[in-house]
Amino acid sequence: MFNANNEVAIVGVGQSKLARKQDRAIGALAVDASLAAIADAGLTVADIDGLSTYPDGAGPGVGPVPGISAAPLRWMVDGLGIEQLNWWAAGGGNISTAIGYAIQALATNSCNYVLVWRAMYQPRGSALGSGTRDVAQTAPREARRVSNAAAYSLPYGLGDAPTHFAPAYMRYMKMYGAERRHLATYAVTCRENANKNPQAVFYDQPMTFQDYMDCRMIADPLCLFDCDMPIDGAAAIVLTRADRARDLKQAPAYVSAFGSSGYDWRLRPPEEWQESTAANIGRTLWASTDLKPADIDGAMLYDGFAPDIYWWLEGLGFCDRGEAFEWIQDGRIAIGGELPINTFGGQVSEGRLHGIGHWVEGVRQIQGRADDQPGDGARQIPDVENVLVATGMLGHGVGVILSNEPR
Amino acid sequence: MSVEEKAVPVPTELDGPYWEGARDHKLMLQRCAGCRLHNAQPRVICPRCHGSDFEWTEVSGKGTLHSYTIVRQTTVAGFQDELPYVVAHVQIDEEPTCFISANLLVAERDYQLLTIDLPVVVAFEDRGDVTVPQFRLA
Repeated sequence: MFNANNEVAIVGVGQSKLARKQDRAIGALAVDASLAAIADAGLTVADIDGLSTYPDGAGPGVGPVPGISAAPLRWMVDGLGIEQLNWWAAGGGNISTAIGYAIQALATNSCNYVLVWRAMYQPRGSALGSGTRDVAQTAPREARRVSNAAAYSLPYGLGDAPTHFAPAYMRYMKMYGAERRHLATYAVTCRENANKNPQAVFYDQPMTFQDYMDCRMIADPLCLFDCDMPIDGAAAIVLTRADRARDLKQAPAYVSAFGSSGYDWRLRPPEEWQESTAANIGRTLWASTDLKPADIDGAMLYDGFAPDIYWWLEGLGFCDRGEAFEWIQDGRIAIGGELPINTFGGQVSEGRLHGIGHWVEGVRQIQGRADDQPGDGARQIPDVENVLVATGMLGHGVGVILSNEPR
Repeated sequence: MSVEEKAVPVPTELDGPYWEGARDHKLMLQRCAGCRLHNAQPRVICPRCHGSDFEWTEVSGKGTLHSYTIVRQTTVAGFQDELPYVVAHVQIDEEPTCFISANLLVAERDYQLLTIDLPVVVAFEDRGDVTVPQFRLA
């Protein structure tokens, strides 16, 4: 398996302001994050000779235009004023695959410094935001004629993301006896972490176990606090080859293991899409390294919906199938526990950056900088050597181990 | 909101027999003429044998409730006044890899009875000019 062989490192991270609604254009937020990441690495725009992002070509607009939630690659070339690129990629499954392409491009000497960014814009007026925006904002109030895949979903009221993701969690609960109170542990732990992260949209808002148990249901068994929080914002990372990384401003976060999943779900029930993605990433990740789950000091795992954590922990081999809901109890996933998860608050409590927030925090943790921003609480994982970052779901995704030394 | 405001399926050249069958209250599925794999939605290449000849066949309409969700909040046109409603993934008896998404037509007082792997059977809901396959507990 491809493992990057410690030849690639993430060397800079940056975020724009994150907030529920912002007036600043999404393209400007993406540039804010990118310039921050480039400066964080001790580089300048002129050093960047590779770009990678997801999604590709989300339309010509980069302002607050409903339905557009990206700053496309060609726009970023102009936005940053880049004069020449040696390599670029746009598209793929999600931001983790864009990062995967960047790692592979650097490992094959296709370029020297790659910038990866992801920008999110949530249109105003849509209470549910995110993937439902087109339905919410463009559906006429009379019968809409739909064909192909939409003909098998919208006439059934199947359109919002929670409706798509809830059945997998329902089946899991029924199969293994998991209850909502088990997942409350994840949501409350993430909120405690977000309360130590001034970037998080819920920085100032604590949440108790009872708050979680009392909150309204969206699509049983998913409740409001199981859903990630739509925001406006952007984040970016800069990657380079390890030989160059050692001379930069920050300690390198070495890519010491690499796993990926392609589309492997067409003949599987929808309830297995997520766990099979996690298992594929786990299979390829562990095949690429001598490191074992016990060597991992923390994990940043995609959490578009809270139960995603179960698929990750089981698929990545931290516990067996059907065990995650009990495994996460008793402080195990809290900062200071055996495997701190999503120390920045996750998407459920920092906000929905569609996966790149996990990579930013993974780097900060491995560089020992998780408590460095003004307002940060104590969220640095002590004595950290290896952090696993895995994002992406529904077939596609990439996971890596970031290490403070080559391994 | 009234029934007319829900999205209306419009058959294509590829899936016409599915919707025509529904109008006659038959659950018709596309099947590979070579290896007999049933498809929930039509394909142009069979992922199992790579054949490209297909036929349409009526299936029993029996299946099991692989999983479901009770929808309490929605943005989907025509469904705000239907809340709560159940979206189900049904595994049809003839094909273990074939899953159909539809509503489970069940009274709210019976939600407590729901669990995975219950037997279900197709039901047909007429909506004006079109009919959509649905399921109910068997």
